[in-house]
Amino acid sequence: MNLNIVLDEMNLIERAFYEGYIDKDYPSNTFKALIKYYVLNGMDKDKILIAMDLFMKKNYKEYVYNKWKDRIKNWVNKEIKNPTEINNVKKICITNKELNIINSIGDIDLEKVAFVYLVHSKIYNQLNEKCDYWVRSKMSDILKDAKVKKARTVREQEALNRQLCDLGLLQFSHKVDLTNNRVCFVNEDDEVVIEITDFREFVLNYLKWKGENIKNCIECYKLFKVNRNVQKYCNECSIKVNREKTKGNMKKNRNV
Amino acid sequence: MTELEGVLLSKQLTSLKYIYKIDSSRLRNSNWNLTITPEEAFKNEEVVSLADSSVLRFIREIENVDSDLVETEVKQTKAKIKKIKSEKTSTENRNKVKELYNKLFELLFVKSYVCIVMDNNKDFDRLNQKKSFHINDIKFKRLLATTGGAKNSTVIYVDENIHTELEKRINNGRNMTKEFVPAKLEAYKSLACSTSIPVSNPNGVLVVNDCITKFKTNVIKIDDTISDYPVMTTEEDHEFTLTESDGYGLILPSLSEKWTEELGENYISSGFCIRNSFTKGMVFSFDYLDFAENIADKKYLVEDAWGDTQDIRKCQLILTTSMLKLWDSYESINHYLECCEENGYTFSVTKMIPEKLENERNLNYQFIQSLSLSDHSIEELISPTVNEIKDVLGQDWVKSLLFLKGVHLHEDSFRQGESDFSKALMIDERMINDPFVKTKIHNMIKKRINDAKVGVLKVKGNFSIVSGDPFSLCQSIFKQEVTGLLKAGEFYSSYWNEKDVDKVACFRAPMTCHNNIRVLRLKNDDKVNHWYQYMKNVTIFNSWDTTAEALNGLDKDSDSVLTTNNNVILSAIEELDAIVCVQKAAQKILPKESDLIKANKNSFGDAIGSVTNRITSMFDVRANFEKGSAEYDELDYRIKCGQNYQQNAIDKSKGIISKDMPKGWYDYKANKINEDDSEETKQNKEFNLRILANKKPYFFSYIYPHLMKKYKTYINNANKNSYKRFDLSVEELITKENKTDEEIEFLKYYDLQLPLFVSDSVMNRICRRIEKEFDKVKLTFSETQFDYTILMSGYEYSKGRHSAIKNLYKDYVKEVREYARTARLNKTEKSERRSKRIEFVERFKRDASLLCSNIEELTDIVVDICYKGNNNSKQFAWDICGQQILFNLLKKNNHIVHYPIADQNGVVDFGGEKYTLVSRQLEGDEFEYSFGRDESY
Repeated sequence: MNLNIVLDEMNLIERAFYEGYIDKDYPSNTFKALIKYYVLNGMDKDKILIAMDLFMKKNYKEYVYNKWKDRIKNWVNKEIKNPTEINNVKKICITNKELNIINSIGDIDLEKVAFVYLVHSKIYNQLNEKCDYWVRSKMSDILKDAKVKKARTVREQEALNRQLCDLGLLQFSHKVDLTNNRVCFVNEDDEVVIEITDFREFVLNYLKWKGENIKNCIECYKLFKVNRNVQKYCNECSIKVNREKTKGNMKKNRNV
Repeated sequence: MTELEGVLLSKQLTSLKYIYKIDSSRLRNSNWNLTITPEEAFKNEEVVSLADSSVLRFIREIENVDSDLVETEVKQTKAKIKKIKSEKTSTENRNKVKELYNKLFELLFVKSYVCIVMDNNKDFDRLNQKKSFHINDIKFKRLLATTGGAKNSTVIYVDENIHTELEKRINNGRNMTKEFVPAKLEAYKSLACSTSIPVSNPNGVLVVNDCITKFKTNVIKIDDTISDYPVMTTEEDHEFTLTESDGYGLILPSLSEKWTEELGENYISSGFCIRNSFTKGMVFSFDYLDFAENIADKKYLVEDAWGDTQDIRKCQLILTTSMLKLWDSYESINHYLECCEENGYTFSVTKMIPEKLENERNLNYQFIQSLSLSDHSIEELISPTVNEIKDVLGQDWVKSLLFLKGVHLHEDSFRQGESDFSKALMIDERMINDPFVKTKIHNMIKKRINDAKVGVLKVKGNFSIVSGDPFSLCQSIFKQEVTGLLKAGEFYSSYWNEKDVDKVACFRAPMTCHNNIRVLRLKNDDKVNHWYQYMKNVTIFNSWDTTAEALNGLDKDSDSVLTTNNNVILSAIEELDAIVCVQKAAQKILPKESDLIKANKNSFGDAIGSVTNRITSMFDVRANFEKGSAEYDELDYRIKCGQNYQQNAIDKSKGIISKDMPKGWYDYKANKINEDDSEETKQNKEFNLRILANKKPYFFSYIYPHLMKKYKTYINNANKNSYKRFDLSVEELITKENKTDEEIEFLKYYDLQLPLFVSDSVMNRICRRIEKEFDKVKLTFSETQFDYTILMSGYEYSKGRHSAIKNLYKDYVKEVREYARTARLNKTEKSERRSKRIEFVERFKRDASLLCSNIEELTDIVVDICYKGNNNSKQFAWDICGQQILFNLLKKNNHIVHYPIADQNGVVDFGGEKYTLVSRQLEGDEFEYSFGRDESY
C-alpha cells in the first residue's frame, strides 16, 4: 500500500521493545511510534529523550547522538504539543451500497480509483475521526494502489478526479494549493461485503467482488490475479519457488 | 597564507589542536558526568580542531607543556607515519601506524579546554552551578564565550584546576575596581581566544588618545526612543563627531618588514590586524618619524594617553585608545607591558594586508537590491558572469582550468590550495574525461548559475581594508591642527590610482538601504603618494565626512569594503545622506560572574539575519508601487529604519533594552482587522496589509532550499487544482480570455497565497534573467572513455585488504549520505560543515591507513573500488589518497604542470579575455612542497 503510514504501530512498538526491532528501510517509523507510546504513557520530555537515547544506542548500529538529537527532539516536541493515538488499523470494511455505487461508474479504471479512494478515506477516518473522509494521499499513490497506469500526465490524472467529482463521488478542497479530496459516497450502515485485513494489492478485493478470478497465494497469502486456473502462487513467490525447485533438481542431478 | 576579502589570513605555524565540542544535552543525559573515549568522540563528531591562541598558549604554560618539544614530537610522529606508509603493508606496520596516530592525538589533544553548545538556558544555568559538570573525571568551570561562539550558543569551559590561573592571566593585572558593560568586558576578554600568530615584541609602544574630528554635515537622524515608531528627520548642518582613528594605529615600516618576514612573506605589508591583552585592531605602515622630522619640526616628545611624555623615536608601534580597550585600567604603558610580560602575552597577528589585491570580485544581493537598474543595465551587469559560465559549458580543458582555479593562475598556483582534482587537471589533459572531474565541474557550474541568480555577479574590483587618514592621526599626536591630507569627499587607494581610476563605488556588508552605498573620489598627487607610500592596497578614508557612518558604522579595526569601478553600478548610485541612529548606552557595573553569565545568555543566537531579511522583503514589496506613492514612501522609511533595528539587535546582545521592528511591518496577525477596531485603525491596518513584508522574495528560494521546495510544491499543487477544476494549467488559465467568476476567484487567491514575493524588484529581475539564460541549458556531458589506471601506482594489492577497504568505503558512503541529510535538516552553517568535513576525512584517512599502511597499495585499492563501478562515489578516492593520485599523475607526466595565463595574443577566449597555456616542470623538493599539507591526524 502506498499510504506512507504505519497502520499497525502497536506491532512495531512491541517488536521494538521485545526484539529491539527497527524498521530497516524507514527507521524513523519505529522511533516515531515509540515516542507516541512514551507520550501517551505520560513520560516527560527529558525522560523520553533519555529513553530514546538508550534504545537507539542499544539497538541502532548507525546511531550517532549528534546526528539524531535534533530530529528526535523535534518529534518529541511535536508529539507532546499534539499527542496522537497509536495507529491501530486492523481492518477496513466495505459495504454493499458503497460497492454498488462504484460498480455503477461503468469504467473499470475509474471504478478502481474510486475503490482506492474509499479505502484510503476509511483509513484516515480510523486514524482520526474528525477527518470526515477527507483523503490527503497523493494522486500518484492512489493510482499505484489502483494499478491504473493509463494516466501519465498531471492533466490526465486530474481528469480522473474531475470525472469522479462530476459523478458526485468526490469533493475538492477550496484552497488553491490543497490537493485533498473528500470521498462523498461512504455508507458505513449497510451490510459489510468486503473486509480488508491485508493491504497488499487490496484493490484486487474489488475485482474479486466483481467476479474476476482472484486467489490468495498459498505461500504468502497475498491476493493475485489468476491467469491460469492451476496457478497457486503470486508472481514473486512463483519465481522464488521455481528457483528453489531448480536448485533442488541441480543438487539431485549432481548427486546422481 | 590564504587570501580572503583583501587580507591574508595568517597561516598557522604550529599544528592544529584538538578539543571536545559537546552539546549540553549530552551532559544532561549522562547526569552531568560524561565519560567518553576519543574513538567515541570522533564517531559522534564531538572532536573539533582549533588553531593556536593566547589561551591555548597559557594552558600549555600552566600545565608545563613545552610547546617546542610537542611540535618537534608531532613533526617526528608525522614523519614516521609517512615513512611507514611507503613500506609494505604488514600487521606490524598497521599496529605501528595505529600507535603513532594515537600518539599524535594525545600530543595535540587539549583535555582541559572544552566547548559546550547550549541546548537551552536551563542547561547553561546547571553547568554554571557550583557542582558544575565532569568530563572524563575532570571538573570544568566556565571561562568565557567569544562573540562568534555566543551566536551559536557555545561557551568555553576549562579544567577547574587551571581556571583561577587562566582568569588571572586573561585579566592581565587590570584594575579590577573599574566598571564595565558586562557584554563588552566578556568580548574584550575573549580576544585572548582569537586565532593568532605571535610576532616579536616591538621596541617601544606608544598609546595615544584617539584622533577626534568635528564637522557640520547633512544627516538623516533616526530616533526610536521617542515613540513606538522611529522618528526620522533630515538634519542639515548637523554637528558630527568622528572618531577618526577608531580601531587603528600605526607601525613603523621597519617593524612591518620584520613582522612580514616572521610571518613567512617577503614584502613590507601595509598593515596587520593585531591582538594583545585587551588589544584589537589594525596597525598601518606609516613613517611617523618622517612626520616628526619634517612636519612636526623635529619635535619627538609626545604625550601618551596617560599624560606621560614619550620619545616617539623609541616607539615602533602606536596604538590608539580605541585599540587598547582597557587602557585606563592600567597606570601607564609600562604598567600594561609589564603585566603582559608577567602573564605571558605577546603581540600577535591574525591577518595582514596582502602584497596584491584581486582584480575581480563578486557582488551580493545586498549591494544590488537598492539600485535602480533598467533591463539594459541588468544585461550589462550580468554579462561577465553569464559569459564566464557559457564559456565553461563547452567542456574545454583550458577553460575548465580557468573556471576551477580562477583567471589569475601563475607559476606558483600549483603549490597553493588543496590536493584536489583541479590540480590533477593541471597535470594531465585526460583528466577532463574523468567522470568524477566531470561531475564536479557540472556541480560547480550548477552552483555558479544558482549563485548568479542570487546576485553573485562578477565585477572588476576587490575587497580592501579601510584605514583612516594616518596624517590626521599624526597631527593629533603632535598636537597640531588636524587637517589630514584628504578633504571631505576625497579618498585614497593605490590600487585604483595605479589603474588611473578616479571614482569607485563602495559597499560594506551588512547593508540595508541605498544610503549605505558611497561613491569614493580618489586623490592622486605627489603629496599623498609620498605619505601613503607604505599603505598599498588599503582604502584610506578622509577625516571630514560621514562615509564610515554611512557604511553601517564602519570602524577601522580591519573592516573591509568592496570597491568597484563598474559603470552600471556607478551610474545607478544616488548619493544620499548618511543615516545616524541615536545610540543607547548600556549601564557600566562591576561585573560579577553572574553578570557575565547573563551577558552570555543575552548574546545567544543571532537576530540580525532576520532583520536584514525583512528589509530585503520590503524592497520586493516596494517594487509594486510607484515612486512618490504613500506606500512607496512608507516602505522607503521602513527600509531606512532597518539600520536602526540592525543596531538594536546588536545592542540587545550587549544587554541594552532596545526595541524590535514593529510587528505590524511584517506580521499578518498584527494587522488582522477586528470588528471593534475604529475606522482609523482599520484604515491603518489595511494600509499595512498592502505593504506587509511577510514573505521572502522569489530569488531567496535559491538561497534557502526549503523555500524553493515550498514554492515548487505550491505551484505544483495549484496546477493540479487548476487542472482538476478547469482542465487548464495555471499558466493557461492566466492567459485565458473571458474567465468565469470561479476562475477569477481562483487566480486571485493563487496570487495572494504565493509563498514568495514575485514582484519586479531588481533582484527578482536578475534572478529571472539568469533563469531564462540557463534553465533550458542541459548540463549533460558527453560519455567519454576514461582509463583510470593513470591514477594508480601499479602496486599489486592484497584481496583481503581490498575487501576491508571496501567495507570502509561502504561506511563512508553511508555516513556522507546521513550527514548531508542532517546538515540539510539542521541548516548547519557553512563554516561548521567545512570543519566537520575536515574531521570526517581525517578520520577515514586514518582508518584506511590502519587497514592498509602502504599508501601506494591503498591508492590502487581505493581507485579500483571507486572507479570500477560507474555509480561508485569517487570522492572517497580523492579524500583518502588525493595526494598520492597527484604524485602518480606527476610521475606519469614527467612532473610537468600546465596553467593558462592572460595573454593578448592568446588563442583561448574566456570571460572576454584571451589566454595562453604555459607549462613548467616541477623540480626537486618543489615536487614535495607542492603538496603543502603533510600528514595530519
